[in-house]
Amino acid sequence: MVMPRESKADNPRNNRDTSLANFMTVAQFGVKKASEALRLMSASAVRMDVISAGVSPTSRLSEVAGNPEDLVIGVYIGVEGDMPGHALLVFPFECALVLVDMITGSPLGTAKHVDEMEQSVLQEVGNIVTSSYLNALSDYYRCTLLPTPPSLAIDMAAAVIDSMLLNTGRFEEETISVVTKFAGAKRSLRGFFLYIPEIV
Amino acid sequence: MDDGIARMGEVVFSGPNLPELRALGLGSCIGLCAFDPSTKLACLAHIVLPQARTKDTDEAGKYADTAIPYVVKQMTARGANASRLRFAIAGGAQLFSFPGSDSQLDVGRRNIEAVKELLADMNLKLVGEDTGGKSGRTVTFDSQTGEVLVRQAGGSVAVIAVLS
Repeated sequence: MVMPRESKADNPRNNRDTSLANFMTVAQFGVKKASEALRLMSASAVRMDVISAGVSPTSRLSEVAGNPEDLVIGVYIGVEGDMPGHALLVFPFECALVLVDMITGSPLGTAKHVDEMEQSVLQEVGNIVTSSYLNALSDYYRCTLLPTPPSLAIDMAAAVIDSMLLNTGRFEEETISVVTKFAGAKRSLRGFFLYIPEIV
Repeated sequence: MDDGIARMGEVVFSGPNLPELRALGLGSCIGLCAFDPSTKLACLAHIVLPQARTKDTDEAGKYADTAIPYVVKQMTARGANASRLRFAIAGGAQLFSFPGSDSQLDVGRRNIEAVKELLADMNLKLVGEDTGGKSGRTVTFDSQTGEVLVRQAGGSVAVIAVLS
């Protein structure tokens, strides 16, 4: 069961379905909202699609981003409040550069390194995606969700995902996750948004 | 899977057709290499967290406090001598910086401390290490030579220990 820490389900006006199945529906709606925000931000160049939502073996999550040793950019955002969770955006290195160009409206191939400017663009993408997603969740569950400032790492895919999973403070056999793929309208763009709610 | 790759929480052993063991992309996790020079038996554990909630966990490889006794027991059962075992560790990085977070959340550092304490408590010989920092690591362990090779994200490669 996924529930706000201080359950408001006792209040008939807040009688929301807090089952896992329903959480997945709400989460998918959240991704739709995040996708809309990203399309606005990128002038329709980038969208997001849910590829899996549900309970899966935790050890398999590190394979989400592909080859464990591939260089990726990870943007981690913790979620505090009534229903804590963890959000992670993962982009293969080359795709992160493409994304930066799409967001800044620069010709593709402009961004060549991930320096301060590129980092802040990617962190901003993390902020927009995560807060739109959280808004949908908090509207539905009528709870407060507060994203922490984004933290960025450039490292091996498996290392980025294991660091995120371990910093959830728990490491269970199975994890509830929502995995979303980013796609570019004109250019191929791989990337993932992973959301893991803490289970109360 | 018998490909010599230790995934999260797994422990793998070398064999006639499996001379090389690997752990790919360790972040906060620890790759623990154990070697018996006379039998050339090598073992690699991909440790995830410092402490198991209960000692009778069926995932002994996942936690430092259960993985180390498990490794020693399994290697002894395969003909190694516990007093001859030599160890090397790699990993325990902290990739993300969490504003305002305290060291409690630094799982990487807690993993390193737990592994080292346990090795010392059990009088096991730690020969080399490459731990901490901010970069992920891939460990390659050659049972023919006892060499432990660590590649860090970004390309640097180094032999951190020769356990033979």
